[in-house]
Amino acid sequence: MKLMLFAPELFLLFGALALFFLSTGKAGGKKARALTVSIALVNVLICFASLRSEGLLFYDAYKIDFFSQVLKLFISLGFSVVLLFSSELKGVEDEVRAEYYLFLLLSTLGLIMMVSSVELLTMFIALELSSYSLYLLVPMRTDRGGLRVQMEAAIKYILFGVVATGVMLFGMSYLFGLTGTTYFVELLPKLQMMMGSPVALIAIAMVMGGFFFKLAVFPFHFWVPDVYQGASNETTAFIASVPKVAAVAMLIRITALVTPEAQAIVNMLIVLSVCSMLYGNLVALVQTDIKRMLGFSGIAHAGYVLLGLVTLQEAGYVTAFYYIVGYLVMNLAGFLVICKVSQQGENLAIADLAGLHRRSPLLALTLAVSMFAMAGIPPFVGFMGKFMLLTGAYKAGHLALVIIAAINTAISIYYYLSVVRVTYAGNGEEQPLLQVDGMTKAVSVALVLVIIALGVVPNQLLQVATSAIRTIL
Amino acid sequence: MEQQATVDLLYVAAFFLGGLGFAIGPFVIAKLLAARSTRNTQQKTEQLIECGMVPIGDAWIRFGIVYYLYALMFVAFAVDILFLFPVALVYKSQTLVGALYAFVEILIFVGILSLIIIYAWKKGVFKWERKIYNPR
Repeated sequence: MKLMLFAPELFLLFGALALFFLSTGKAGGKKARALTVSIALVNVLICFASLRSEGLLFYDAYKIDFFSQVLKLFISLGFSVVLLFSSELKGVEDEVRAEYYLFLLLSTLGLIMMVSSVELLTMFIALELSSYSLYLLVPMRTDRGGLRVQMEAAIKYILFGVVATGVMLFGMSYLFGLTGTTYFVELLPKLQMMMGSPVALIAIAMVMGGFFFKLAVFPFHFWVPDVYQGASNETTAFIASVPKVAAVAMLIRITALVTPEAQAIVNMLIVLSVCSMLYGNLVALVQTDIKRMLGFSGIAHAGYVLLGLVTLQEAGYVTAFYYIVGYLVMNLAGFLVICKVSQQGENLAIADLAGLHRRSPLLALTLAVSMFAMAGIPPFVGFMGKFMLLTGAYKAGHLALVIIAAINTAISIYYYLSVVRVTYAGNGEEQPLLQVDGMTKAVSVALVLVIIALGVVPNQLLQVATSAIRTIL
Repeated sequence: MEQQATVDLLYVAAFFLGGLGFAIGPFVIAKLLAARSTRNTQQKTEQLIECGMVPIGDAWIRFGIVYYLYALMFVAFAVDILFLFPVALVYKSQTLVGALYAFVEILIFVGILSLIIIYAWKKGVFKWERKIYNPR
């Protein structure tokens, strides 16, 4: 049954259709949310069930293999977690909530289709499906201050997105012009013959640009702080975590086209990695808005992930994969706390977290674990990921890069741990206890456990990542 | 061979000069044709600009937003039609896609696109009434 291969996507498509008809009616956010959560959870099960399926669809443009199925599972899981903890959706008005969920679902669908696409145009359409949906989610926030920051953020997001898309399409046109094909399978041998030519290198670099935008790597990072700040907390939680997993997956696919002769690409990745790390970490030091701070820290993390790609080896790709999955979990944990502490969907300053350990010990613990993990402190997943990335890059002979990355890790510890300091030692004025519903408690406990488990016993995930990466190399 | 390369270079040069001409030409033409008296010399720098005419009033007037929704709907369907052209080109070539397959696919495509009209209908875009703008 060929149709069964397409089951997760098909299910999401029909779910989106159902949500669409819900949005035309009078149904409020409650109904839409119930429907979306059930779609997301069932989709996780479907992805899990189809983990081992393999095949080609749509004139060989769409490949189902272990790599894509594992990523689909992680993307669906991330989507479900965002949905589960954004139970009230405070920042979005009730009358547009059905549309909000519809576009959130479509964005996930785009990401899920992207990791399966093995043809340039399919990849492009999937990427745009997910991007356009995200552009629409940003301005749906309630206008609180009358300043329309959400509109500003949305316009910035879409303009930078269009530029990145243009760069990527230009690169694709070069690739097609050089090889006469848009299929990765046929691209690979033809490109490797002309790896020395500058045109091929420029083409690959430009195609990477589109995904650098999603991942917020240095020259394509300009949207990050404003969008993180302007979008509602729940939207930011999604934008900051789930698309990055898919972006890294696609970057791995594209980097796999590069052979070691292409020293220029490696050099470019090194420079971008250093710039992202330094820029992200240094600017994050002075931020007062916690979402903005996490935005800059996201840029720095994108720099760390590139450490895995510069090695151009299977081990490097595996650690990049491992790191981005870890980042997904620790980022979601951090945003869970932000969404819950924010009372009416307003932005939180770091100072607002003062005294959180008295108001809600569980949330304070979750935030602390998330921050420790992002700073790279054992035994959490962030430490293990950074450790493996650094040793991998060191073994591949990038000593200077490793030193800079290590210095950056040290810089980042300051701003991550100041959040923890404010949370536990800050004496905020007396504020009422936070009411946290059972589902959120369960999700945050689960996230904390996963962060610790992935850090202590990384072997399971590493094995999965290795066998996934092997299917595409 | 040598000659061929020279001819190619000449082509490139010709296109380069042509492109340059397109960029610089308008400046030259504007310089030649522009009115000698400008807004500055006529002491009219404060006046609103309306394509060179004497303006007939303020630009800050109210106008119906309803029309723009219609225009947006039109764009949606114009794009819809645009995508049907490539389909029409390959529709009859049996080697590429089967007849029934192509029919079903195009039906799904148009079906999804026509959801736009259902959405707009349900949200009351087609009711021509003066919408009162209330800033939230």
